[in-house]
Amino acid sequence: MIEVSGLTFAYPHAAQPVLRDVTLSIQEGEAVLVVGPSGGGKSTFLRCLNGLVPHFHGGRFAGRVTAGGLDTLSHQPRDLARVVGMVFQDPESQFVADVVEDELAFGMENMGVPRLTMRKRVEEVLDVLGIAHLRRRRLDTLSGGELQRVAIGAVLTVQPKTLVLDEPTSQLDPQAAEEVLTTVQRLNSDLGLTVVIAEHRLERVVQHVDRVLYLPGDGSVASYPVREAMARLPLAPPVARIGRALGWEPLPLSVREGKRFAKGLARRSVPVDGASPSPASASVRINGLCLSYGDGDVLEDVSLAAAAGEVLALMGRNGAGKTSLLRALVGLVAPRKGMLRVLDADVPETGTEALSRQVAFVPQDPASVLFRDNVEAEIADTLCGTGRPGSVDEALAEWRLGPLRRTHPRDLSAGERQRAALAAMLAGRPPVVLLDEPTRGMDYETKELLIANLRRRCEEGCAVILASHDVELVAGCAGRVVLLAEGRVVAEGPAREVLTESVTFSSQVNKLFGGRYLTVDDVLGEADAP
Amino acid sequence: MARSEAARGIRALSASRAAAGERAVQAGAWLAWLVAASVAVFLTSNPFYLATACLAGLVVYESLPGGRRRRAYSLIVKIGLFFALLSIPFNVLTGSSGSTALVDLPRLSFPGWLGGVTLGGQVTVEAALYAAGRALRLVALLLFATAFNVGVDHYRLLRLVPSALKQLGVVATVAVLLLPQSFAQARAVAEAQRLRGRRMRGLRDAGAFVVPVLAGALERSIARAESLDARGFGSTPQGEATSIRTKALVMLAIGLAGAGVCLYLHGGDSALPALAVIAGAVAATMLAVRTRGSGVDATRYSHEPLARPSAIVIGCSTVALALLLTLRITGAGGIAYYPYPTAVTPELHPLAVLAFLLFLAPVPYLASSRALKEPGDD
Repeated sequence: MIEVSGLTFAYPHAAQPVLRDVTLSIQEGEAVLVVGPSGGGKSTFLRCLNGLVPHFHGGRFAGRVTAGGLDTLSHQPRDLARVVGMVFQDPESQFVADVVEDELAFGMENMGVPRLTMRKRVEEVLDVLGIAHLRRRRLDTLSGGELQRVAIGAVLTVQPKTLVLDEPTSQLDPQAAEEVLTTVQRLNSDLGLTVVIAEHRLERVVQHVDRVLYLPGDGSVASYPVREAMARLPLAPPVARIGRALGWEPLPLSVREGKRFAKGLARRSVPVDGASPSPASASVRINGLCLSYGDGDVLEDVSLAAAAGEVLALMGRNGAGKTSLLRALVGLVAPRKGMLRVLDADVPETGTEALSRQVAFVPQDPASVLFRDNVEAEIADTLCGTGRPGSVDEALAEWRLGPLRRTHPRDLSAGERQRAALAAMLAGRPPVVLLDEPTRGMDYETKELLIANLRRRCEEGCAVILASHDVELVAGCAGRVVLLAEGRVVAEGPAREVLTESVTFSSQVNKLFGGRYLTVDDVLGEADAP
Repeated sequence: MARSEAARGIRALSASRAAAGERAVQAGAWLAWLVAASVAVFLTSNPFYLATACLAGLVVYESLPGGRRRRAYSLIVKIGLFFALLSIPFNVLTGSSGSTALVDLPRLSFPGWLGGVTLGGQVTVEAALYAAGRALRLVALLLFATAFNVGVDHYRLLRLVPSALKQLGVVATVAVLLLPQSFAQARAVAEAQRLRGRRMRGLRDAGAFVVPVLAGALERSIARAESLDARGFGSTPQGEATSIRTKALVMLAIGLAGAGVCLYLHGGDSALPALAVIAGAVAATMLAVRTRGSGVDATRYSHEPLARPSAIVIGCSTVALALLLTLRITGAGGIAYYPYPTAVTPELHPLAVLAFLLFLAPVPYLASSRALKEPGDD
């Protein structure tokens, strides 16, 4: 279906090629997962498959790529669209029409498909993706997962043989990501569509793919059968990492496959830790907080406290009020009622700008907080604006951004940009750190770095509150968990207790072993963790 | 009994859901409504009627479903209202003719090289009425235009454009889409700056604000261009390229239209040259459409017959406009109102008020579409 031979590509003005002498082929009906560290060339590789590289981006291109027999050099991306359909990261930047049906038809209109055929194909695609109920809805009223499924549908109506997805879930919350990945898996197994997907949520996709393409970042692309990839590559979901360490054969890729091995394993007891801090000593105190936007109540009588040196995780489904709670804590929204104190300062009275010296808040979209010319200037800007003590170099080192210090944020890959945003917002070691969904679309490597940095900051006496759906992150670093639903606190307690007693919020390791196990380290012990 | 009632209720509900699409006001009807309402606002200078128009515009705007686009436009409405209100004292202070004095303010004259404007002096009732009328007209136009922009399906609207100009239509759609996103971006940047301890003071901070907002908008447009390219926009079916002649004609039409507007705005007293140039633009457009026309190119998906709501909206708008034109030509009802030299109470004719209230026609259909959309709205 797709043949790549001797492909070498460098962006304009770049000294090093992103891809170096890549040769591989993808068969019809295959599902291929593309993984690798951020900035390693995954997006570039995918764009080679439909000719956006080099036609849209320019640069130096050598070698040959054919998709469905069409050479990408002699055909424009818009003509290759009939063969290769591409879905991008941000669902919102892909749309043209106002209504779902029109959006689905747009590609076909461009190709001059007769109207009756268009009607038929729109119906088919609506059914295949299970979005028939959305057909007349306006796009600006859809949720993220619905939008991304419409984006896939818009590509499918022109009936391409191959579907290429560039981190289609990185802007989505877990539920929405699940919807999208399930859809993609069905398209592959039911319709035999060739799928090439770059995705960070390995635990959700590895069991459905045939092959893994690994881009280590030096320009090469290595191809492995999926089990071999999970056995050899540094990136793997928890099940595979445990299987690897304990020598399970064949290596399990899903909880289902792992259960068989896990049954016979001896169990250590894991202590439950993390008591509620006494309200007097807490860094952050919230008492009877009520918050409403316009007509609806968002938070209703919420009380909680976070002590210096602990990580408190806020969990709950979308719209439960997690983001609003964090925004209230930095004074971006005013509460209707209740007390909010951070380090003995009253939040609404102090104001966001004055609070910023003590409190750092990292909002969901990392791109929105970066606005200087380079990473270094971003960090300096925060230090200067907030008056926090600290140095730029320290922040660069903490987030491994040294080599990128002079780079414009625009030229960073998605993962690097997240690190830059964290470095910029958390510079100067503020004593209170608030993070909103920090791991959305984050790769494993950056996530590990984030967990390590948060743990270290806690040891230094920092109080961290993070709102997250990411069970692995919470299991890895949070001491306590507060569960919110409909703006109220429904559960509060040590992370291990709350997470292991829940079905939706339990980690892959817990699903495998039960009991109080949460992380890979719990099972293997600190010493022999991979 | 109860069961059959419930069944009927369910049937009615599902029928109403199925009809949700047909119930919406179509793009063409929105356009007719906007044109009629704007012309009507320009026809009258009577403050009572203009206030009625504002009310109609406000009700339509308020009954539109919420969502991101509406939030973005609400800022535009606020800015517009601010400037409209600001124009009242400005007009009152600069225009000091009229015979009914209200107060006497100290007079401040600027020399000729600063425009020779006179500020202050006698403030008259006539000047106040005149200024209020102009501000009301501005507000009414703003509300009508905003309601149109929030309510209309831009994509379908631009699909009304003949297919030779289709590419232009899509480009315009993309530009329209950029606006709400830029507002969201602006809000995010402002918040990020506060979080980093920066308060906006003075022009230098404004630069640090505007640049990232523009950069973000640019980045989004590049991402969208990339996606359009990947989705086959501008592809050439059957290998047939757009003829040079068509392209040249389209360019000519755009150029002429631009020139016509400039002439109209800055030309002398006579509108004739401007009209002639615009007529040329229309002719070039028609020629371009004819050289293309036969449907070799991109096809269209949506082809809807005129639905009842749209027919009602078009009907009401036409009746309202005809009514106002008749009143204006016959001179009845005090449609044209000029406060100078001596102010009299403006007339209030029930037919004219009714005409402006007819512009409320889209409201019932907006409310129903909102009720249907709410369950899925997060």
